[in-house]
Amino acid sequence: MLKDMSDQELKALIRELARGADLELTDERIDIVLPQFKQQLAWLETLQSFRLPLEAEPSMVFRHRRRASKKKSRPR
Amino acid sequence: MSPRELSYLTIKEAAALMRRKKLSPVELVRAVLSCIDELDPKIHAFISVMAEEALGAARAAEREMGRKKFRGPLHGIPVGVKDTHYTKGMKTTAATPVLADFRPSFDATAVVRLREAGAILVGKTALPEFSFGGVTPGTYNPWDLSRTPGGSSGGSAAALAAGMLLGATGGDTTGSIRGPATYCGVVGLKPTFGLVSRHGVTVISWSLDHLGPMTRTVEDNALMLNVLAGYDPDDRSSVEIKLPNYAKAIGRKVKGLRAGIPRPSLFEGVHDEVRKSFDEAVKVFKKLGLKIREVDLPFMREAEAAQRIIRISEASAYHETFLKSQPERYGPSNVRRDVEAGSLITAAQYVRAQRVREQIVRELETVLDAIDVLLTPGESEPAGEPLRGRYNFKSYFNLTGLPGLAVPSGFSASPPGLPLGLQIVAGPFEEELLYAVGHAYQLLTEWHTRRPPL
Repeated sequence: MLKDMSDQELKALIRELARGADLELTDERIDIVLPQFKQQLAWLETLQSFRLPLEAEPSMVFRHRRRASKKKSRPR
Repeated sequence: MSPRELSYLTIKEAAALMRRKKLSPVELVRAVLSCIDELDPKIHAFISVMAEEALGAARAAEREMGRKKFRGPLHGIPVGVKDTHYTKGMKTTAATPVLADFRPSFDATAVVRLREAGAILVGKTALPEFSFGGVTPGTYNPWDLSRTPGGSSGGSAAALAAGMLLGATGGDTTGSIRGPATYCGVVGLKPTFGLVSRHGVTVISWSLDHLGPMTRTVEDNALMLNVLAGYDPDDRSSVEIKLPNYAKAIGRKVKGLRAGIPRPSLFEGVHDEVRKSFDEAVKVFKKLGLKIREVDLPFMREAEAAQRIIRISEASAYHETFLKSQPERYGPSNVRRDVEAGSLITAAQYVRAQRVREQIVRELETVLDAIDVLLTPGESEPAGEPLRGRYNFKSYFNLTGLPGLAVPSGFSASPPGLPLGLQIVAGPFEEELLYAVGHAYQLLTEWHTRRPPL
């Protein structure tokens, strides 16, 4: 739906979102931000197409552990 | 040796000469400063050069060595850090007018560790504003002064290629160590997320930022990682693990290792010269006894989208104060625009990106079960050529946190004389494997020994 919006509609949306974020954006700044906002919408659309299992957790605490299985073919 | 010859020594060579009293830290630092004086007006790799402080530190190192106190292979070695690293009482600008007057009250953990190892900080290297972007405006590639060294760690890469430093650090959120290393024909490691502390380094994205060593050889890179790696309670992402001696991985046998290469469709848009160089590199790895097989890299398009949304959401949070208090101070780059737009992403959208990330990490773990290392091009094109690669082989490993080592792998014929590189990736905390494979490759090739026509 967002991708079908006109530039004017998107600018109005930016204005509202900026207000929600307590960010002051003049009309001139909104014109500058618009192309990047559209790019973000494209990325978000790609993410929407990813089928997430309901139980999928976010990597909010992002830590690795050394992988457990050591392959026999790896020389040491 | 001339100053130019001295400043092109590897860290290992310089350390050996100093131990045998054939070279003094003062002589080496003077040589490096002389090269900076001669070459940096053309390259602009540095934001600041601390000549007096460096010479003072070199004299102190010389006195220590005179008392037979050697701190290790970095003792007396001239290095640079990216100008995102806090240096106590010294300007740390991140190349932005927003921080033009910022003088931190402490050193970044990486700076502390380098100093404790006896390394001599000669300068702070150039970057794009706040590290945003794949070029470093105003800094030039030593291999072709009309072209970019890449970004964002472009100053570090250019300084190494030009022989103005023996080692440096860079930061990598979307490929900012590996990209410039490839464009400039040097070696750059993005370590596993959590291995090297980012405490005291300006932020793009807390969950994607990595800091790592940049050098002219794989062996030197391992020597620097020995100093930089390790748990730091001040970095909440830092991981407490038993650290190996990375330099001991050098010379380790690689025959029989299983190496994955991306399936052909993932090379869409990759420059012909890069493809040719990559195919030649694969032949070298086969000669070394690696077993090569094609693999799929799952969800590359989705990974790039997730990386972009996470990066700009977190960056916008970091920039919130600057945006509200001094928006007019941003430079002429797109940083202000990007973080303003990023501020409009909702919390649910950000969390979705983090959920997608976790799923992709799990999918990639399955791929890694069947291989020991993965080989990809370092960049999709030579420096300054149009970006046409469909898939980003660098940011994929920022998202997944896996270590990636960029190694020089050739030079382009058309356009002529530009460095090309490859990336070697391994599982989490398997930097030793990267060094073993990368060093074995450098033993059979001479790309890393070539010097730019300056």
